Amino acid sequence: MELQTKANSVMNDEKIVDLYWQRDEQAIKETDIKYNKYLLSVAMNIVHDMCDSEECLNDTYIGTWNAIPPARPVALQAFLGSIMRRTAIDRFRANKRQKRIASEFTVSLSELEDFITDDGDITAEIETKELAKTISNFVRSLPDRQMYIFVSRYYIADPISTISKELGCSVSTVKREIEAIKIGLKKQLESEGYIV
Amino acid sequence: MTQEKLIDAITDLDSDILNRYFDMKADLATKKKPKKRTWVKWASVAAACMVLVVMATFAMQYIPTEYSLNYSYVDANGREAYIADKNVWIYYVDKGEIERERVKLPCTAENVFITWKHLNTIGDEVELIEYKIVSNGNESTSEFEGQGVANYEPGDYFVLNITVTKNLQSYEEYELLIDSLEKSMSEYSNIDFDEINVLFN
Repeated sequence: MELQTKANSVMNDEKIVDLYWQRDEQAIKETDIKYNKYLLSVAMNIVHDMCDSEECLNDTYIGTWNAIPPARPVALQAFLGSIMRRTAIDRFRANKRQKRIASEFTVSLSELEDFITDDGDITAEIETKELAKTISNFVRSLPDRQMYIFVSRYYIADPISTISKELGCSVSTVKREIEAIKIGLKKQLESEGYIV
Repeated sequence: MTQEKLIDAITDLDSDILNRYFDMKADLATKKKPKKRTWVKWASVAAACMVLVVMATFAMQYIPTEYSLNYSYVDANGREAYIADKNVWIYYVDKGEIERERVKLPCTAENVFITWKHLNTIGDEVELIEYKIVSNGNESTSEFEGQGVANYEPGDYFVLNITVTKNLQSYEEYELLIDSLEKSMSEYSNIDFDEINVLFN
């Protein structure tokens, strides 16, 4: 009975998007009920600070309110996640300019140091969108499990221990898979001229 | 490639990938982990412990300890032969009563005596001098086709003579000790003796 009540209290994504389109502020309340925890976890993984995360959450709700309409996202969770990630990364960059901060995001970034060069951005002419396409194509080609690990680690910035729990395997297994993914991604980026 | 460009590129991952990710996340979350049936684990441990206790109790009866037995002997041809183990009752005196204990040992009169001494806390100074079975069987020789032939008529009266050193007599409850010795030494041979004598030398 309690479960049923709980299930009924969570609105489906389509209805929430409709509320945004109707400019009904209930849309934000429903979004918060359904995605508060998820969005905060995305922000926390990046900025590693609860106050900053809550500010990012508010910014995400405002961003979503402004984006819908005209946008009509098919997958609201991915849409919200994307806005939250951008917001949190902006906050992360601002914080980084002021002070050194440690977060799961910095740890996950350090794993990708092989791909990063500071020699004046040789590929400046290549749009980020194109790079995103290349990475998307690579991730799309991965088997479900590796795709899950990539997104968890580098998009959501989840700790490896969390990923291993979710997948029901050991931390070392996840680490091995991350290594395999990195090798694959490096090859892909090299073949397309991103890494010289 | 700068760090910023890489971060932005990952942020721009196509939504179909993210959908696939969230679908899988939902699947993983709803997939009920099989409940760890902890009672099965504890029941197995308890059962294993019980088996160990039973086995240990059973084994304790058959493991002679703290004294050494002879596991082989040298036969008439000078060859070493190993003695087969056998479960035998050894009798001992405990608080004025004769008790018995099942012991697995290489079954010779000497080993039965050693074990009997151990159970009765009798020192090494007491020794078994002779263990002899006497019967009224008749052994004779006759002649057959010019050759001597040994004949043996089995008897129907068997006497067991156990000769031990006389210092056994200095032990308390000496008479009970003699009874327990007679029982121990006679039962292991499976012969129904008509008479048992304990002799001192």
